[in-house]
Amino acid sequence: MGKETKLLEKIELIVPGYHGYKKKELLREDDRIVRGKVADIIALARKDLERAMQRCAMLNCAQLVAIDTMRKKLIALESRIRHAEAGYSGYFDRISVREKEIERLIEYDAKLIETAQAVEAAVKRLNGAMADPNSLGMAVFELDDKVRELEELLDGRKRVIMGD
Amino acid sequence: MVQVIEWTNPGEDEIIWRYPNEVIKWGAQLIVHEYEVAIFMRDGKVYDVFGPGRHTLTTQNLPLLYKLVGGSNSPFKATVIFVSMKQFQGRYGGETQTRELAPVKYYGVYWFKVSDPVLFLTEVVGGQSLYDTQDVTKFIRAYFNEGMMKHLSAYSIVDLFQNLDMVSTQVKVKLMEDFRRLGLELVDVKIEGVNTTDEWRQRLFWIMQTGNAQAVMQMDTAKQVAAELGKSEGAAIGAGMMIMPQLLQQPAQPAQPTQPYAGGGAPPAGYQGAQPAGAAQPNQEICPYCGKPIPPGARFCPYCGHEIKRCPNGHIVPEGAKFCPVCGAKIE
Ligand SMILES: [Zn+2]
Ligand SMILES: [Zn+2]
Repeated sequence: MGKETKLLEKIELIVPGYHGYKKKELLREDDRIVRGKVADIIALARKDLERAMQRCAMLNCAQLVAIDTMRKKLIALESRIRHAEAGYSGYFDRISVREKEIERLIEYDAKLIETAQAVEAAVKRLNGAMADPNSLGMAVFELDDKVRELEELLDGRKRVIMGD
Repeated sequence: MVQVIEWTNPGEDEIIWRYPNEVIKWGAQLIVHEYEVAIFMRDGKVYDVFGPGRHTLTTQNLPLLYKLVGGSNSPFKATVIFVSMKQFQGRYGGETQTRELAPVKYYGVYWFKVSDPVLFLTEVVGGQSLYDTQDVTKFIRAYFNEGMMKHLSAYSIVDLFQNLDMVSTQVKVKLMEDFRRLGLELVDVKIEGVNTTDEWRQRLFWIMQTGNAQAVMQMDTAKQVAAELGKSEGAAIGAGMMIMPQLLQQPAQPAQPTQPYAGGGAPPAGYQGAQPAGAAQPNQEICPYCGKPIPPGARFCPYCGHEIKRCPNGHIVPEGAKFCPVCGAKIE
Protein backbone atom coordinates (compact mmCIF):
# COMPACT_ATOMS: atom_id res chain seq x y z
CA MET A 1 0.00 0.00 0.00
CA GLY A 2 2.44 2.60 -1.16
CA LYS A 3 2.72 5.18 -3.86
CA GLU A 4 0.13 3.63 -6.20
CA THR A 5 -2.62 3.55 -3.62
CA LYS A 6 -2.05 7.20 -2.86
CA LEU A 7 -2.02 8.11 -6.56
CA LEU A 8 -5.13 6.03 -7.10
CA GLU A 9 -6.97 7.84 -4.36
CA LYS A 10 -5.86 11.15 -5.76
CA ILE A 11 -7.13 10.29 -9.24
CA GLU A 12 -10.39 8.82 -7.93
CA LEU A 13 -11.08 12.10 -6.23
CA ILE A 14 -10.83 14.01 -9.51
CA VAL A 15 -12.16 11.32 -11.84
CA PRO A 16 -15.19 9.60 -10.34
CA GLY A 17 -15.64 6.04 -11.57
CA TYR A 18 -11.94 5.43 -12.15
CA HIS A 19 -10.92 1.91 -11.15
CA GLY A 20 -7.19 2.11 -11.70
CA TYR A 21 -7.31 -0.70 -14.30
CA LYS A 22 -8.26 -3.22 -11.63
CA LYS A 23 -10.74 -5.10 -13.79
CA LYS A 24 -9.73 -6.30 -17.21
CA GLU A 25 -13.18 -5.64 -18.68
CA LEU A 26 -13.04 -2.07 -17.44
CA LEU A 27 -9.58 -1.19 -18.74
CA ARG A 28 -10.96 0.70 -21.69
CA GLU A 29 -13.51 2.44 -19.55
CA ASP A 30 -10.80 3.63 -17.13
CA ASP A 31 -8.74 4.88 -20.04
CA ARG A 32 -11.75 6.66 -21.53
CA ILE A 33 -12.84 8.48 -18.40
CA VAL A 34 -9.33 9.63 -17.54
CA ARG A 35 -8.89 11.02 -21.04
CA GLY A 36 -12.33 12.60 -20.85
CA LYS A 37 -11.44 14.37 -17.64
CA VAL A 38 -8.10 15.62 -18.95
CA ALA A 39 -9.78 16.80 -22.18
CA ASP A 40 -12.39 18.66 -20.11
CA ILE A 41 -9.69 20.47 -18.18
CA ILE A 42 -7.98 21.47 -21.44
CA ALA A 43 -11.32 22.62 -22.88
CA LEU A 44 -11.83 24.89 -19.87
CA ALA A 45 -8.32 26.23 -20.22
CA ARG A 46 -8.96 26.93 -23.88
CA LYS A 47 -12.15 28.86 -23.11
CA ASP A 48 -10.27 30.86 -20.54
CA LEU A 49 -7.57 31.56 -23.10
CA GLU A 50 -10.22 32.82 -25.51
CA ARG A 51 -11.30 35.31 -22.89
CA ALA A 52 -7.67 36.39 -22.71
CA MET A 53 -7.69 36.85 -26.48
CA GLN A 54 -10.74 39.06 -26.29
CA ARG A 55 -9.11 41.28 -23.72
CA CYS A 56 -5.85 41.26 -25.62
CA ALA A 57 -7.64 42.32 -28.80
CA MET A 58 -9.39 45.10 -26.91
CA LEU A 59 -6.13 46.33 -25.40
CA ASN A 60 -4.37 45.97 -28.74
CA CYS A 61 -1.67 43.93 -27.03
CA ALA A 62 1.21 42.60 -29.07
CA GLN A 63 0.88 38.98 -27.91
CA LEU A 64 -2.41 38.35 -29.66
CA VAL A 65 -1.01 36.20 -32.44
CA ALA A 66 1.09 34.21 -29.96
CA ILE A 67 -1.93 33.63 -27.72
CA ASP A 68 -3.91 32.54 -30.74
CA THR A 69 -1.18 30.03 -31.59
CA MET A 70 -1.50 28.63 -28.08
CA ARG A 71 -5.25 28.42 -28.51
CA LYS A 72 -4.80 26.34 -31.66
CA LYS A 73 -2.43 24.06 -29.77
CA LEU A 74 -4.99 23.56 -27.03
CA ILE A 75 -7.72 22.76 -29.56
CA ALA A 76 -5.51 20.14 -31.21
CA LEU A 77 -4.50 18.76 -27.84
CA GLU A 78 -8.07 18.44 -26.60
CA SER A 79 -9.15 16.61 -29.69
CA ARG A 80 -6.11 14.33 -29.56
CA ILE A 81 -6.83 13.41 -25.95
CA ARG A 82 -10.56 13.00 -26.34
CA HIS A 83 -10.90 11.26 -29.68
CA ALA A 84 -7.88 10.29 -31.68
CA GLU A 85 -6.23 8.29 -28.92
CA ALA A 86 -9.36 6.18 -28.60
CA GLY A 87 -7.93 4.33 -31.57
CA TYR A 88 -5.50 2.46 -29.36
CA SER A 89 -8.08 1.40 -26.83
CA GLY A 90 -8.42 -1.81 -28.84
CA TYR A 91 -4.95 -2.67 -27.62
CA PHE A 92 -6.35 -3.23 -24.17
CA ASP A 93 -7.79 -6.47 -25.47
CA ARG A 94 -4.46 -7.75 -26.64
CA ILE A 95 -1.94 -6.64 -24.10
CA SER A 96 -1.42 -8.71 -21.06
CA VAL A 97 -1.70 -6.06 -18.46
CA ARG A 98 0.80 -6.83 -15.79
CA GLU A 99 1.08 -5.23 -12.40
CA LYS A 100 4.05 -3.22 -13.55
CA GLU A 101 2.28 -1.81 -16.58
CA ILE A 102 -0.72 -0.88 -14.50
CA GLU A 103 1.50 0.92 -12.02
CA ARG A 104 3.08 2.92 -14.81
CA LEU A 105 -0.30 3.68 -16.35
CA ILE A 106 -1.60 5.00 -13.04
CA GLU A 107 1.49 7.14 -12.69
CA TYR A 108 0.96 8.53 -16.17
CA ASP A 109 -2.70 9.22 -15.46
CA ALA A 110 -1.87 11.14 -12.31
CA LYS A 111 0.83 13.11 -14.13
CA LEU A 112 -1.55 13.78 -17.01
CA ILE A 113 -4.18 15.26 -14.73
CA GLU A 114 -1.60 17.26 -12.83
CA THR A 115 -0.08 18.70 -16.01
CA ALA A 116 -3.50 19.52 -17.49
CA GLN A 117 -4.22 21.44 -14.29
CA ALA A 118 -0.87 23.17 -14.66
CA VAL A 119 -1.91 24.21 -18.19
CA GLU A 120 -5.11 25.59 -16.75
CA ALA A 121 -3.19 27.48 -14.08
CA ALA A 122 -0.78 28.87 -16.69
CA VAL A 123 -3.74 30.23 -18.66
CA LYS A 124 -5.05 31.87 -15.49
CA ARG A 125 -1.71 33.55 -14.93
CA LEU A 126 -1.69 34.67 -18.55
CA ASN A 127 -5.10 36.24 -18.05
CA GLY A 128 -3.77 38.07 -15.01
CA ALA A 129 -0.67 39.31 -16.82
CA MET A 130 -2.59 41.10 -19.56
CA ALA A 131 -1.63 44.59 -18.45
CA ASP A 132 2.13 44.03 -18.47
CA PRO A 133 3.70 43.09 -21.82
CA ASN A 134 6.77 41.51 -20.23
CA SER A 135 5.03 39.20 -17.84
CA LEU A 136 2.47 38.45 -20.54
CA GLY A 137 5.25 37.28 -22.81
CA MET A 138 6.62 35.11 -20.03
CA ALA A 139 3.17 33.70 -19.35
CA VAL A 140 2.85 32.67 -23.00
CA PHE A 141 6.20 30.88 -22.81
CA GLU A 142 5.22 29.16 -19.60
CA LEU A 143 1.97 27.96 -21.11
CA ASP A 144 3.84 26.66 -24.12
CA ASP A 145 6.18 24.71 -21.82
CA LYS A 146 3.26 23.08 -20.02
CA VAL A 147 1.58 22.19 -23.28
CA ARG A 148 4.75 20.52 -24.52
CA GLU A 149 5.04 18.63 -21.27
CA LEU A 150 1.52 17.34 -21.70
CA GLU A 151 2.25 16.26 -25.26
CA GLU A 152 5.28 14.30 -24.11
CA LEU A 153 3.27 12.64 -21.38
CA LEU A 154 0.67 11.56 -23.91
CA ASP A 155 3.38 10.01 -26.06
CA GLY A 156 4.80 8.17 -23.05
CA ARG A 157 1.43 6.95 -21.89
CA LYS A 158 0.64 5.71 -25.37
CA ARG A 159 3.85 3.70 -25.40
CA VAL A 160 2.82 1.99 -22.16
CA ILE A 161 -0.60 1.09 -23.52
CA MET A 162 0.78 -0.12 -26.83
CA GLY A 163 3.16 -2.29 -24.88
CA ASP A 164 6.46 -0.99 -26.23
CA MET B 1 -41.22 -3.84 -37.15
CA VAL B 2 -39.11 -1.64 -34.97
CA GLN B 3 -38.57 1.86 -36.23
CA VAL B 4 -34.86 2.70 -36.53
CA ILE B 5 -33.83 6.31 -36.52
CA GLU B 6 -30.27 6.61 -37.72
CA TRP B 7 -28.19 8.97 -39.84
CA THR B 8 -26.64 6.54 -42.25
CA ASN B 9 -23.51 7.53 -44.16
CA PRO B 10 -23.40 11.24 -43.53
CA GLY B 11 -21.34 13.04 -46.20
CA GLU B 12 -18.11 14.87 -45.47
CA ASP B 13 -19.77 18.27 -45.45
CA GLU B 14 -23.08 17.36 -43.85
CA ILE B 15 -23.77 19.43 -40.75
CA ILE B 16 -27.36 18.42 -40.12
CA TRP B 17 -29.76 15.80 -41.29
CA ARG B 18 -33.47 15.57 -40.75
CA TYR B 19 -35.00 12.16 -40.27
CA PRO B 20 -37.60 12.11 -43.05
CA ASN B 21 -40.40 10.54 -41.05
CA GLU B 22 -42.05 12.88 -38.57
CA VAL B 23 -44.18 10.21 -36.98
CA ILE B 24 -42.27 8.52 -34.17
CA LYS B 25 -43.30 5.40 -32.35
CA TRP B 26 -42.49 4.64 -28.75
CA GLY B 27 -39.94 1.90 -28.58
CA ALA B 28 -38.18 3.13 -31.72
CA GLN B 29 -34.42 2.58 -31.85
CA LEU B 30 -32.39 5.76 -32.03
CA ILE B 31 -28.78 5.28 -33.08
CA VAL B 32 -26.47 8.23 -32.53
CA HIS B 33 -22.92 7.80 -33.78
CA GLU B 34 -19.75 9.29 -32.33
CA TYR B 35 -19.48 13.03 -33.17
CA GLU B 36 -23.27 13.28 -33.46
CA VAL B 37 -26.15 14.59 -31.44
CA ALA B 38 -29.82 13.83 -32.11
CA ILE B 39 -32.38 16.43 -31.17
CA PHE B 40 -36.14 16.20 -31.07
CA MET B 41 -37.87 19.35 -32.24
CA ARG B 42 -41.44 20.39 -32.68
CA ASP B 43 -42.65 23.63 -34.21
CA GLY B 44 -39.11 24.98 -34.32
CA LYS B 45 -38.57 24.36 -30.61
CA VAL B 46 -36.00 22.03 -29.13
CA TYR B 47 -37.24 19.30 -26.77
CA ASP B 48 -35.11 16.28 -25.97
CA VAL B 49 -31.44 15.75 -26.77
CA PHE B 50 -29.43 12.51 -27.22
CA GLY B 51 -25.70 11.98 -27.34
CA PRO B 52 -23.83 9.08 -28.93
CA GLY B 53 -25.20 5.61 -28.23
CA ARG B 54 -28.10 3.31 -29.00
CA HIS B 55 -31.29 4.49 -27.35
CA THR B 56 -34.71 2.93 -27.13
CA LEU B 57 -37.22 5.76 -27.11
CA THR B 58 -39.33 5.57 -24.01
CA THR B 59 -41.48 7.97 -22.08
CA GLN B 60 -38.59 8.23 -19.65
CA ASN B 61 -35.90 9.42 -22.00
CA LEU B 62 -38.25 11.73 -23.92
CA PRO B 63 -39.76 13.46 -20.90
CA LEU B 64 -40.37 16.85 -22.49
CA LEU B 65 -42.00 15.46 -25.61
CA TYR B 66 -43.98 12.94 -23.60
CA LYS B 67 -45.42 15.79 -21.58
CA LEU B 68 -46.20 17.70 -24.74
CA VAL B 69 -47.99 14.83 -26.46
CA GLY B 70 -50.24 14.39 -23.50
CA GLY B 71 -49.04 11.12 -22.06
CA SER B 72 -50.59 8.78 -24.59
CA ASN B 73 -48.67 5.80 -25.94
CA SER B 74 -49.70 6.21 -29.53
CA PRO B 75 -47.18 7.48 -32.10
CA PHE B 76 -46.39 11.16 -31.86
CA LYS B 77 -45.13 13.86 -34.18
CA ALA B 78 -41.62 15.24 -33.88
CA THR B 79 -38.79 16.32 -36.12
CA VAL B 80 -35.58 14.48 -35.38
CA ILE B 81 -32.49 16.45 -36.39
CA PHE B 82 -29.03 14.97 -36.29
CA VAL B 83 -26.21 17.44 -35.82
CA SER B 84 -22.61 16.65 -36.67
CA MET B 85 -20.07 17.78 -34.09
CA LYS B 86 -17.19 17.45 -36.53
CA GLN B 87 -15.11 20.34 -37.78
CA PHE B 88 -16.05 21.92 -41.09
CA GLN B 89 -14.24 24.13 -43.51
CA GLY B 90 -15.79 27.00 -45.38
CA ARG B 91 -14.48 29.41 -47.96
CA TYR B 92 -15.34 33.06 -47.96
CA GLY B 93 -14.73 36.09 -50.06
CA GLY B 94 -16.14 39.53 -50.34
CA GLU B 95 -15.66 43.22 -50.66
CA THR B 96 -15.69 45.98 -48.12
CA GLN B 97 -14.21 49.39 -47.50
CA THR B 98 -11.44 50.31 -45.12
CA ARG B 99 -11.63 53.12 -42.61
CA GLU B 100 -10.52 55.59 -45.28
CA LEU B 101 -13.09 54.10 -47.66
CA ALA B 102 -10.55 52.30 -49.81
CA PRO B 103 -12.27 49.41 -51.54
CA VAL B 104 -10.81 46.04 -50.58
CA LYS B 105 -11.47 42.53 -51.73
CA TYR B 106 -10.59 39.61 -49.52
CA TYR B 107 -10.88 35.85 -49.50
CA GLY B 108 -9.82 32.90 -47.42
CA VAL B 109 -10.85 29.88 -45.41
CA TYR B 110 -12.50 29.36 -42.04
CA TRP B 111 -13.00 26.33 -39.86
CA PHE B 112 -15.87 25.87 -37.47
CA LYS B 113 -17.84 23.32 -35.57
CA VAL B 114 -21.01 23.12 -33.59
CA SER B 115 -20.25 23.67 -29.91
CA ASP B 116 -23.75 24.04 -28.50
CA PRO B 117 -26.14 21.94 -30.60
CA VAL B 118 -29.24 23.15 -28.79
CA LEU B 119 -28.38 26.81 -29.25
CA PHE B 120 -27.40 26.08 -32.85
CA LEU B 121 -30.72 24.41 -33.58
CA THR B 122 -32.66 27.14 -31.84
CA GLU B 123 -30.84 29.99 -33.56
CA VAL B 124 -30.11 28.61 -36.99
CA VAL B 125 -32.17 25.57 -37.83
CA GLY B 126 -35.40 26.33 -36.00
CA GLY B 127 -34.96 30.07 -35.96
CA GLN B 128 -34.38 30.37 -39.70
CA SER B 129 -36.31 27.26 -40.70
CA LEU B 130 -33.28 25.79 -42.44
CA TYR B 131 -33.60 22.05 -42.35
CA ASP B 132 -30.90 20.89 -44.70
CA THR B 133 -27.14 21.20 -44.79
CA GLN B 134 -27.01 23.31 -47.93
CA ASP B 135 -29.23 26.02 -46.50
CA VAL B 136 -27.42 25.95 -43.17
CA THR B 137 -24.01 26.20 -44.82
CA LYS B 138 -25.18 29.09 -46.95
CA PHE B 139 -26.52 30.87 -43.89
CA ILE B 140 -23.29 30.40 -41.96
CA ARG B 141 -21.18 31.64 -44.85
CA ALA B 142 -23.33 34.74 -45.25
CA TYR B 143 -23.17 35.35 -41.52
CA PHE B 144 -19.41 34.99 -41.55
CA ASN B 145 -19.02 37.31 -44.52
CA GLU B 146 -21.22 39.95 -43.01
CA GLY B 147 -19.12 39.91 -39.84
CA MET B 148 -15.87 39.92 -41.79
CA MET B 149 -17.02 42.91 -43.81
CA LYS B 150 -18.09 44.81 -40.74
CA HIS B 151 -14.96 44.10 -38.70
CA LEU B 152 -12.47 44.67 -41.53
CA SER B 153 -13.96 48.05 -42.28
CA ALA B 154 -12.73 49.31 -38.92
CA TYR B 155 -9.10 49.06 -40.09
CA SER B 156 -6.96 51.27 -42.28
CA ILE B 157 -5.63 50.05 -45.59
CA VAL B 158 -2.06 50.19 -44.28
CA ASP B 159 -2.99 47.89 -41.38
CA LEU B 160 -4.61 45.49 -43.79
CA PHE B 161 -1.62 45.25 -46.07
CA GLN B 162 1.17 45.64 -43.55
CA ASN B 163 -0.11 44.09 -40.32
CA LEU B 164 -2.37 41.46 -41.75
CA ASP B 165 -1.46 38.85 -39.12
CA MET B 166 -2.53 41.09 -36.31
CA VAL B 167 -5.61 42.37 -38.10
CA SER B 168 -6.80 38.91 -39.02
CA THR B 169 -6.31 37.64 -35.47
CA GLN B 170 -8.19 40.60 -34.05
CA VAL B 171 -10.99 40.13 -36.55
CA LYS B 172 -11.03 36.44 -35.72
CA VAL B 173 -11.58 37.16 -32.04
CA LYS B 174 -14.57 39.29 -32.92
CA LEU B 175 -15.95 36.69 -35.31
CA MET B 176 -15.49 34.01 -32.64
CA GLU B 177 -17.86 35.97 -30.44
CA ASP B 178 -20.34 36.36 -33.29
CA PHE B 179 -20.24 32.62 -33.93
CA ARG B 180 -20.69 31.76 -30.28
CA ARG B 181 -24.06 33.45 -30.46
CA LEU B 182 -25.14 30.79 -32.92
CA GLY B 183 -23.85 27.88 -30.85
CA LEU B 184 -20.89 27.56 -33.19
CA GLU B 185 -17.21 27.59 -32.48
CA LEU B 186 -15.04 29.37 -34.98
CA VAL B 187 -11.89 27.29 -34.79
CA ASP B 188 -9.77 29.33 -37.14
CA VAL B 189 -9.81 31.90 -39.90
CA LYS B 190 -7.22 32.42 -42.56
CA ILE B 191 -7.13 35.43 -44.82
CA GLU B 192 -5.46 34.21 -48.00
CA GLY B 193 -5.59 37.42 -49.94
CA VAL B 194 -6.48 41.06 -49.81
CA ASN B 195 -6.53 43.35 -52.75
CA THR B 196 -7.54 46.84 -53.69
CA THR B 197 -7.76 49.00 -56.80
CA ASP B 198 -4.72 50.18 -58.80
CA GLU B 199 -5.14 53.68 -57.51
CA TRP B 200 -5.21 52.56 -53.90
CA ARG B 201 -2.32 50.22 -54.39
CA GLN B 202 -0.24 53.15 -55.63
CA ARG B 203 -1.28 55.25 -52.68
CA LEU B 204 -0.54 52.37 -50.37
CA PHE B 205 2.90 51.96 -51.90
CA TRP B 206 3.79 55.51 -51.05
CA ILE B 207 2.12 55.54 -47.70
CA MET B 208 4.17 52.52 -46.71
CA GLN B 209 7.31 53.85 -48.34
CA THR B 210 7.16 57.25 -46.71
CA GLY B 211 5.20 56.51 -43.60
CA ASN B 212 3.30 59.69 -44.31
CA ALA B 213 -0.25 58.64 -44.93
CA GLN B 214 -1.61 62.11 -44.55
CA ALA B 215 0.52 63.68 -47.28
CA VAL B 216 -0.18 60.85 -49.67
CA MET B 217 -3.87 60.95 -48.97
CA GLN B 218 -3.92 64.65 -49.78
CA MET B 219 -2.90 63.91 -53.33
CA ASP B 220 -5.93 62.71 -55.18
CA THR B 221 -4.13 60.80 -57.83
CA ALA B 222 -0.62 60.09 -58.89
CA LYS B 223 -1.24 62.37 -61.82
CA GLN B 224 -1.89 65.25 -59.50
CA VAL B 225 1.47 64.68 -57.87
CA ALA B 226 3.14 64.93 -61.23
CA ALA B 227 1.25 68.11 -61.99
CA GLU B 228 2.21 69.69 -58.69
CA LEU B 229 5.80 69.06 -59.44
CA GLY B 230 5.46 71.09 -62.58
CA LYS B 231 5.64 68.20 -64.92
CA SER B 232 3.49 68.06 -67.95
CA GLU B 233 0.57 65.68 -68.10
CA GLY B 234 2.71 63.47 -70.23
CA ALA B 235 5.32 63.20 -67.52
CA ALA B 236 3.66 60.32 -66.30
CA ILE B 237 2.57 58.60 -63.22
CA GLY B 238 5.84 56.77 -62.80
CA ALA B 239 7.93 59.90 -62.62
CA GLY B 240 5.60 61.56 -60.21
CA MET B 241 5.50 58.53 -58.05
CA MET B 242 9.25 58.32 -57.90
CA ILE B 243 9.69 61.88 -56.79
CA MET B 244 7.26 61.65 -53.98
CA PRO B 245 9.39 59.91 -51.41
CA GLN B 246 12.00 62.61 -51.45
CA LEU B 247 9.32 65.19 -51.38
CA LEU B 248 7.70 63.64 -48.37
CA GLN B 249 10.80 62.62 -46.51
CA GLN B 250 12.52 65.95 -46.63
CA PRO B 251 11.27 67.35 -43.35
CA ALA B 252 11.90 64.11 -41.57
CA GLN B 253 15.42 63.58 -42.82
CA PRO B 254 17.15 66.94 -43.08
CA ALA B 255 20.58 65.36 -42.79
CA GLN B 256 20.20 63.57 -46.06
CA PRO B 257 21.28 65.81 -48.92
CA THR B 258 18.49 66.35 -51.32
CA GLN B 259 18.84 63.66 -53.89
CA PRO B 260 18.73 64.89 -57.39
CA TYR B 261 16.06 62.96 -59.08
CA ALA B 262 18.62 60.74 -60.64
CA GLY B 263 18.18 62.23 -64.05
CA GLY B 264 15.45 60.07 -65.38
CA GLY B 265 15.18 56.38 -65.16
CA ALA B 266 12.09 54.34 -65.35
CA PRO B 267 9.62 53.71 -62.60
CA PRO B 268 9.72 50.32 -60.99
CA ALA B 269 8.22 47.47 -62.87
CA GLY B 270 4.50 47.73 -62.82
CA TYR B 271 4.51 51.43 -63.40
CA GLN B 272 6.10 50.90 -66.74
CA GLY B 273 3.18 52.38 -68.57
CA ALA B 274 4.86 55.75 -68.89
CA GLN B 275 8.31 57.21 -69.07
CA PRO B 276 9.49 60.61 -67.97
CA ALA B 277 10.78 62.83 -70.72
CA GLY B 278 14.34 61.96 -71.62
CA ALA B 279 14.26 58.76 -69.68
CA ALA B 280 17.01 56.21 -69.74
CA GLN B 281 16.58 52.73 -71.14
CA PRO B 282 12.97 51.68 -70.99
CA ASN B 283 13.45 48.72 -68.69
CA GLN B 284 15.50 50.48 -66.06
CA GLU B 285 14.32 50.58 -62.46
CA ILE B 286 14.90 53.09 -59.74
CA CYS B 287 15.97 52.48 -56.16
CA PRO B 288 13.10 53.56 -53.94
CA TYR B 289 15.56 54.43 -51.17
CA CYS B 290 18.07 56.69 -52.97
CA GLY B 291 16.35 57.33 -56.28
CA LYS B 292 19.24 56.18 -58.45
CA PRO B 293 18.75 53.90 -61.44
CA ILE B 294 19.48 50.27 -60.68
CA PRO B 295 19.91 47.29 -62.98
CA PRO B 296 16.62 45.59 -63.77
CA GLY B 297 15.77 42.88 -61.28
CA ALA B 298 18.53 43.94 -58.87
CA ARG B 299 18.28 42.45 -55.38
CA PHE B 300 20.08 45.38 -53.81
CA CYS B 301 20.92 48.92 -54.81
CA PRO B 302 24.54 49.34 -55.98
CA TYR B 303 24.48 52.99 -54.86
CA CYS B 304 23.03 52.92 -51.37
CA GLY B 305 23.35 49.20 -50.72
CA HIS B 306 19.75 48.90 -49.61
CA GLU B 307 18.14 45.56 -50.15
CA ILE B 308 15.43 45.73 -52.80
CA LYS B 309 12.45 43.59 -51.83
CA ARG B 310 10.44 42.11 -54.65
CA CYS B 311 7.18 40.29 -55.08
CA PRO B 312 7.13 36.91 -56.88
CA ASN B 313 6.35 38.82 -60.07
CA GLY B 314 9.43 40.98 -59.70
CA HIS B 315 7.80 44.23 -58.61
CA ILE B 316 9.66 46.35 -56.11
CA VAL B 317 7.76 46.31 -52.84
CA PRO B 318 8.06 48.41 -49.69
CA GLU B 319 9.65 47.02 -46.57
CA GLY B 320 7.25 45.09 -44.37
CA ALA B 321 4.62 44.70 -47.06
CA LYS B 322 2.62 41.47 -46.93
CA PHE B 323 1.24 41.94 -50.41
CA CYS B 324 2.65 43.51 -53.53
CA PRO B 325 1.05 46.92 -53.92
CA VAL B 326 1.41 46.60 -57.67
CA CYS B 327 -0.06 43.19 -58.46
CA GLY B 328 -1.41 42.03 -55.09
CA ALA B 329 0.83 38.94 -54.95
CA LYS B 330 1.60 37.58 -51.52
CA ILE B 331 5.11 38.25 -50.24
CA GLU B 332 7.31 35.88 -48.22
ZN1 LIG C 1 19.66 53.04 -53.48
ZN1 LIG D 1 3.89 42.40 -57.82
